[in-house]
Amino acid sequence: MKINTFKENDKLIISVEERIDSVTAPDFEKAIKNEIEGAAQLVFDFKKLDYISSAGLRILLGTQKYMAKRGKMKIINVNETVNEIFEVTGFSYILDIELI
Amino acid sequence: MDNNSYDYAMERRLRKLSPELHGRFTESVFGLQHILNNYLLIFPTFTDHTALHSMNVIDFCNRIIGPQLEKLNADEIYSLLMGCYFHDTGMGVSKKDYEEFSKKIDFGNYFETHSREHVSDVIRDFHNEFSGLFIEKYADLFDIPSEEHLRAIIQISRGHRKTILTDEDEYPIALPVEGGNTICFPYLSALIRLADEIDVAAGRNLSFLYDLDSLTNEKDIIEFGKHEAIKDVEALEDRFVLMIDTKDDFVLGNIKKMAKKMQKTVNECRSAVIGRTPYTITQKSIELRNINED
Repeated sequence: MKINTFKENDKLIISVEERIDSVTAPDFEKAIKNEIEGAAQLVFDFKKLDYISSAGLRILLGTQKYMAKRGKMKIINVNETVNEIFEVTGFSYILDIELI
Repeated sequence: MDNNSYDYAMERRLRKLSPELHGRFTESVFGLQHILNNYLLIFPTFTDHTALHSMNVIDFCNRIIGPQLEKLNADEIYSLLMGCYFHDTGMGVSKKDYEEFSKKIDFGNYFETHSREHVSDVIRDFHNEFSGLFIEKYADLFDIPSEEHLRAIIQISRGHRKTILTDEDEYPIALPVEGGNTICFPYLSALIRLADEIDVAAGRNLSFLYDLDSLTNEKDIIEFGKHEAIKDVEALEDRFVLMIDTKDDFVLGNIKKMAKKMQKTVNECRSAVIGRTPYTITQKSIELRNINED
């Protein structure tokens, strides 16, 4: 998994590549924790994300809970594989998702 | 089959077997994840009991069920998934519901040794019963398709803290539902009970949502200390492995105590499932693996 973060004022963009699974999820969580403070707009760019497991989905939901009190969160460039996961779990009703 | 193959297995199988029931489930997730946040009003320093925990319970159920998923029908999978989200709704009941539900719960001789004033203790100790009554009262909000499905969801949610799943009246092996399927209560209840019990790894409490340094209650500190030291819980085919990272004898002692309790739950669930149903639970034991010693 590769993570790139970009911060401009109160906007934080986190781009994730490859897979978020039970092995990589702790690093994903750590990256969010390190950067999220002060962010009022959080954008996850999943253009190059191939897969997200339940462990990764939990982190997204947790981040959404965190951001709900502080601003907005959006997930952009979601491919079909990842979107299928959002749909099968019911998360397409919860998360703000923009398809690729 | 690699371990990732079980990711979202129930959800995908339900969508394949019954897009209609799958739709009812996914639409319920939205409302339930909001409702589950209510427990924080009563238990602000408790380990996570929100939808994040429900998701772990589903994930563990997927791994415990494994290849047996082929034998579960759509009505059983729907009831189990809904139960996974509903089972802790009783932790966040409103004051009004607490008073209403308390009149219906059999507390036995609980109040001979516990004060009625400590409402949070009563809720914690009987939250499975509060969950059952919550589901019954608010079922209409979740478009549950029949009385039989409702009964299944209530019973398997109540059953996540029951040690006795052998009562045929309360936990029937094959309750018929419209369309010809049946629902196997003891297996579904045992799955949630076990999955709930083994959700003890540090990842349960996301680091940016829980401020561990702010804890002052000794019981909470011990509870979070255990979770922090358990880096992962793996559901292997024949056992559950708790990956521990601690050199603290006190924490290790508490984890060993917890593992004993878990083993008891494994034994009880296996006994109920193997003794009463066509299913099995292949995981027989709890293994503690200290990653410092590897």
